Amino acid sequence: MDLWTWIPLTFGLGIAVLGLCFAFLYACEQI
Amino acid sequence: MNMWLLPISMLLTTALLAIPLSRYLAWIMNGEYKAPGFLKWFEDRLDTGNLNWKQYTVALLVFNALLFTYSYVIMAIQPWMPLNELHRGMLAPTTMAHAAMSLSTNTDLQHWSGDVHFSNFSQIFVMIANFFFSASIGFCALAAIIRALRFGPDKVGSFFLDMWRVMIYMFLPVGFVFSLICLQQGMPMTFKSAHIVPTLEPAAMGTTDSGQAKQQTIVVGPLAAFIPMKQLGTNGGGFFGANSAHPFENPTALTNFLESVAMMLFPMALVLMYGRMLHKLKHAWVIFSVMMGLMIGTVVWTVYFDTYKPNPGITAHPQERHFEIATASGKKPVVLPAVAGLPVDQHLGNLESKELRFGTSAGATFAAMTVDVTCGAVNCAHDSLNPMAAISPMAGMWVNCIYGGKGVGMINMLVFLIIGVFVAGQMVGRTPEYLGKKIGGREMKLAMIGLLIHPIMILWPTGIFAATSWGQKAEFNPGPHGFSEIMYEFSSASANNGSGFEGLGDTWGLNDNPSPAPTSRPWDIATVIVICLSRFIPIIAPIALAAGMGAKKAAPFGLGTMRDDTPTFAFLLTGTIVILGALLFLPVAALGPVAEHLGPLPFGG
Repeated sequence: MDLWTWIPLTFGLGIAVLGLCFAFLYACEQI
Repeated sequence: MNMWLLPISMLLTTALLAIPLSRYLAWIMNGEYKAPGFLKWFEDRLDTGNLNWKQYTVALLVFNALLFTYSYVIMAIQPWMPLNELHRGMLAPTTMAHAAMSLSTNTDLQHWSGDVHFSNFSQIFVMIANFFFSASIGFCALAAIIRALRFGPDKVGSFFLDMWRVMIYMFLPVGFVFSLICLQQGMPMTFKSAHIVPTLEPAAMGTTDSGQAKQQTIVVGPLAAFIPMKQLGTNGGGFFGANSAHPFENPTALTNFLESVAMMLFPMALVLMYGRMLHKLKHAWVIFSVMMGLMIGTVVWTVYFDTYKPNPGITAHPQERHFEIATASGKKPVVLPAVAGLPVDQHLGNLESKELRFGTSAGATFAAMTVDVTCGAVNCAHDSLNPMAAISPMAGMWVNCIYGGKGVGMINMLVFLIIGVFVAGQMVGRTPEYLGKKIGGREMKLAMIGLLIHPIMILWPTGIFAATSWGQKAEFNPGPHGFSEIMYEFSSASANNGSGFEGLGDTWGLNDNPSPAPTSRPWDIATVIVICLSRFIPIIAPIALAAGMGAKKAAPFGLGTMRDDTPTFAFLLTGTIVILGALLFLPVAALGPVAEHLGPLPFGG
């Protein structure tokens, strides 16, 4: 794999999914 | 009888050890201990004072994000770090993302083999580090829930102090004692990466171009420091690809016994710690006994169907068999010729891929126990379990509350408790309440989210991968067994278990791998998403739920209050778990292991 493309993509994917969890936390506050 | 002696002794030993350990855990997490001077200095700096539930959860998530980043970076710089005598290169980016997410969430699902892809530097600074941190995170989440229920939403404790307490006062001392036993039993403990040795048979490894016999590379490392936390933290990620089937990871029958006890110890103790901290010990014993009943059920099921039944794949079928299978263009006749079977004595059951060093039932026993406590370490190949036996590990992952992982098992059980109490309340026409607090719409919404994310994260990806080339090109076996391989992988990812049916082509490994598995990229990416969402949503929702319940005023105990410390409640809870688990997963069980057991193709009963 091309490291310059896939390292940011895959690292960003992990952080993005963790970000979804943050979003869920704030959604729980509204429930 | 000998076959049952092993699981009985393991369960009994662990239960007996868990009782005093739970007392100690409650003493530590309640802050009733007096820290020695030099440790107190650290604790005073880590103690942020009481956080509210949102702050605690944010701290937990931020810590995990940092842990993910740290793990990713350390793996990326592996080629340039010391302790890399075998010159391991960089892993593929998707494998690194999968590994970082898997390890930081206590899943340890491995699309890599430690002895092939990792240097000792990565094994120490990625794997062992994550063993401590990831196990502690689940523990802290449970402590936050307990304090929220007890003291309200604004006094759930300090996340950093809790992490410190778990690692310094719990994992380090117990792990140190276990590691000494592992050393004595012959587990390697060295920073050296490998021994390069000549083989007894001169050219067993082949010859070089100049005609000289090649030598064998025997990978070693700091196993005695690695294995204790792998088991105690219910991590499960192996130093070697063969995991606890490898003689360096599991040298003797005693280490096998202790590794099984170690992985069940904290999950069992945490259930009783829950009761001690809430001053509801009788209620905790009811939960403990429900979990023990389910664990005994899964262990008995697996041992019976794998150790009392032969392997159908090598059993003779002396007569030709005729079947009809449905295809898109109608029914098609199939003829299976007579099969002589292999000349293998099967009176001891299915011994394929089992480590006979530990006894005939050890593989099946370990398989059932490891998935129940979401450890994921294996001492046999789960892909080789008889089909009906394989249902038990899958079921353990599907319900995910038979002791379960560090803290998160009890958290998942809390969700079943809320739903069970709600259903019971509806049946008798009373407002449902748990621990004296009324369960309302908000609590039910959060409980249902916490419950449903798990089957969604299993069933949706399984369907997508089974119907597309992503899954079809990764299967190593045809038909329902291949479906089981796909389904098991997502079940393991979602349950944060980490064991695998392997049998599945999901490894890219090192980035310069000339022939990676064709669909390893989709597998890595899919499991990153499934692992992360299935780890944190079932943690965040129950914390929010507990915070809401903690804010309510406790209703006084009255004649009409449903008792939660009686056998009736135990039956209610067991029924809730079994019915919800069966309803949600019966279809995939029928498509996978049941079809494999009943159907004639390619093997059948």
